[in-house]
Amino acid sequence: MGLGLLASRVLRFHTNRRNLLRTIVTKPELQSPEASAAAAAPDPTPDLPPRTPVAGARVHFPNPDDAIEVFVDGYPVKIPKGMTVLQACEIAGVDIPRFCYHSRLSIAGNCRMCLVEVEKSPKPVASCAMPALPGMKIKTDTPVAKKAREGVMEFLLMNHPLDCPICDQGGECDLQDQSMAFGSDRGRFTEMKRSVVDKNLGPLVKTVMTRCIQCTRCVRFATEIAGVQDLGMLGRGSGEEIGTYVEKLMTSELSGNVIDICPVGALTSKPFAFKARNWELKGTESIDVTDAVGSNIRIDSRGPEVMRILPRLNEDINEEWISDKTRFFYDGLKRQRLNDPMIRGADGRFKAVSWRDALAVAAEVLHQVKPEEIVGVVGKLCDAESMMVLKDFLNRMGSNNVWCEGNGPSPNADLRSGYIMNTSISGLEKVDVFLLVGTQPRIEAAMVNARIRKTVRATNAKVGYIGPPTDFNYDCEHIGTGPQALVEIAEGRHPFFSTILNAKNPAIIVGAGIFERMDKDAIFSTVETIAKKGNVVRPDWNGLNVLLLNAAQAAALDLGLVPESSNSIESAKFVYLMGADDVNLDKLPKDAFMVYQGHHGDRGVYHANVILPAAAFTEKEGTYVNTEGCAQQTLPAVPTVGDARDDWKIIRALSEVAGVRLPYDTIGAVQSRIRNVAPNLLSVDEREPATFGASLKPECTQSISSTPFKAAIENFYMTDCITRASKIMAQCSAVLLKK
Amino acid sequence: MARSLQRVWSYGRSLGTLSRPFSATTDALVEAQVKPGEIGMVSGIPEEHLRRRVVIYSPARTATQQGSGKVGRWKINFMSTQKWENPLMGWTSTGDPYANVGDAGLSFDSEEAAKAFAERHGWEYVVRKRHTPLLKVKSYADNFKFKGFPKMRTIDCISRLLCFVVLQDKCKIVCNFFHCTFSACGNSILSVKTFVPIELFS
Repeated sequence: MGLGLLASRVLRFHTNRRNLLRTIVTKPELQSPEASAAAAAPDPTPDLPPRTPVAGARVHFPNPDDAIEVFVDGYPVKIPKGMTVLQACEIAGVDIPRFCYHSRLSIAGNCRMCLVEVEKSPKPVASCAMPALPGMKIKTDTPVAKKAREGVMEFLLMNHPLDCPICDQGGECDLQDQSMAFGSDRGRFTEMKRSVVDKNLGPLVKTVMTRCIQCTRCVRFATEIAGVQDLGMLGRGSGEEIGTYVEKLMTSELSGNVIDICPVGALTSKPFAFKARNWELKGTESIDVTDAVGSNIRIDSRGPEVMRILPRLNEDINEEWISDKTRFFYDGLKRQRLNDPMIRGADGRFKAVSWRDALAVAAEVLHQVKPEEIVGVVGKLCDAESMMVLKDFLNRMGSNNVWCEGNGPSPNADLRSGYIMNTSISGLEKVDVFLLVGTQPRIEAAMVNARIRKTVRATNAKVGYIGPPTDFNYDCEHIGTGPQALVEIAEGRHPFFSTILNAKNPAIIVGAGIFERMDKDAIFSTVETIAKKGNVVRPDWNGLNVLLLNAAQAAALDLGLVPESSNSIESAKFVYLMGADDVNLDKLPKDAFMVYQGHHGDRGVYHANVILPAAAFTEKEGTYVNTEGCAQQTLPAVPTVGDARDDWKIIRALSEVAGVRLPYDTIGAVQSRIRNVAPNLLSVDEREPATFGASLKPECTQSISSTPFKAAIENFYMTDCITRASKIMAQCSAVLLKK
Repeated sequence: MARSLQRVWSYGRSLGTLSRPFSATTDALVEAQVKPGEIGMVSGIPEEHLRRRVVIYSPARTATQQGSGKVGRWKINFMSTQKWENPLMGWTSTGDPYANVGDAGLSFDSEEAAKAFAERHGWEYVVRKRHTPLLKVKSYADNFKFKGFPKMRTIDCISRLLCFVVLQDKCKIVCNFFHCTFSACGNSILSVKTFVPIELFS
């Protein structure tokens, strides 16, 4: 029996069974064929379940009265006025195929893949560019629409090479998927395919320009989001190609995102090229820790190795983008790693020992020093759990000198509004006047800078900047380089003060580089004066922000990691560095004993006596708070390297060896301890705004020095121990930062 | 299709009401409360895996693709990292029976279904918030909207001057020292793109 016959039998059986059921109910179509035709055709299928928008999207109604109703495949949807047909279909739960349309870029309308049929329209309509009109009847699944898509697909595939088996995009390619779903099984094109010379876009983006289908998403991304006029379209017709006009690298801190938005394999990741196939990878949804933004990422791993990092949607933080540092630093996770506990011998060389011996040595020295001579410094990448455990441990040893590097000698942890971004990152879109004080957002927090740029682009917001000369990718007024300019604004002598005064939603963003200055309090009180006079903080609007530098900073201040004395390092005899590599140890006495707990052999290891290997953020579960005060958690994606352990477990073990056993054995118990100290750290994915404003602060008696503000970060690509170990980041700093 | 399905459904329900005495017993079997962790106990899973911490989450759309077919499902992440590279062949070995289950094997239609599953197996779970996109009004006409005069750098100003000359005089200008092409947006020039030898503007 042939397969076809078999299939037909099965089908027949099904129809039979349906008839069997149908005999119970009398249907009008059984009586008269006309009635059945009338019933089948215009019925708007009222028994359909209500459809949900594609990907669970929420719809933003700018004005609830301005809603219109359109019909998508007969199903009525309410949409805000001005939306396109494609968006209407999305709200109705119909995913329209597209190449050039991207929800975060401007509309180009050049790929024509999104053609749909609209009733009373003579031709198929490009749904991405057509505004939806009231009562429009959109049909997405008719023969006209299908034929149009098939035709477009055939044209696109004419010049597209058949190299899917060797293409890195293969398996996650929009063109591949959509040609499977909407394309024809054969083409009529018999001539030669065109070929295009590859472009050199730098060490991050690999180009195979023959694969390009000219959707111009990358051009729009570069001009609109990244703010560099590097990419463009050259030529016409079949000679059309994407390029950089003149031979030039793409110098943007967001350039890696063009890899994601490219719907074909024309722009792919250079470091990831031919390393793995995407279906071999296991995705773990986690958080980025290379800056204080806390971008949402997906860590793609194969076996015990991190293969790549991709962004993950979070409208409040990073939208769908991540910076190049976040995307490409992962190779640093495989280099310079600390595998085994080590003790420095008499000859000055490290010797690998067992955990028992390493902990015993550390505990023994810990008991020989006076409690006030014990100092703990927490590094940039530490999670809240390990910081809590370290603080508890050192407190039990009698010392209260624990702080986080980057928070300065005398951090202000009393008022939360004094160290977080009170406007919130997504709130920056409402701002109309920015004042950046001693911060270079493009380098310090690329995703925050992308938000500011988005606002400036959308609403022509004004930006004033006080600090050393630096690059901006939006129009910016350079007010001055030092605190003097700030004082001028505060006293109303500078014209920018009236700009702030006239603004509806002004925002002041202070860089965390100022924490290291001696006159930090005076600068903050000047900023607060501006805020007070300029009406920056109101009951409905808080525009006073601090932009932090490191992932650990906010959580450290939330947990109260504040040193008892600001010069404790000068008299220290025992220093516990938990991943702290950038702390200034020049004043440390020569005979001080140093324990370094961390995952990379970086600056902190040079002076260490004992090394305790710990897990990197890709290997552990940890809570981080980003610069806007939103707690987020990482999840382990790969196993730890060598004999390394989780940070909090190491200190827990050390506490037991030292005879001051900490009362928690699981990460859940550590988290319930955190609940007593800072409960906001446990409301994951929720932004906890500050309760009290800066008005509660005592009067400041410091005087402002005239030293100009310094750049907080020298090299965007190398800021912490993982990025400093990364080869790709080294290439980037060599090639892209070349002056 | 949906209508016929509904018909079958209502038919089955009416049958159910008719044959209440029989279905009551089967209902009782199904409705007998499964205590948390009981399914795990009878399923032959090793003891130490009956009490695990898992994370229930809904995977985000892959950033490299636009399709939404796989978005909206719920998965269980077992936080399994007990893996190593096999020294003989270089393959990945694992010591965790759940290492590949969460990623490939388990997929739920709703958060509740995933939670119920985890409860039945006695796992301690945390649910991660699902992030959804926000649709805002976009229009093609925005490309041509007047957004105020862009502030220009010197080089742009020169080219703009040149353009004004061209537009106003409507004459052929052969400019020997400075030829540019413009990228225009609406009625204002955004920036100078390249410098190419153009003989005349008309």
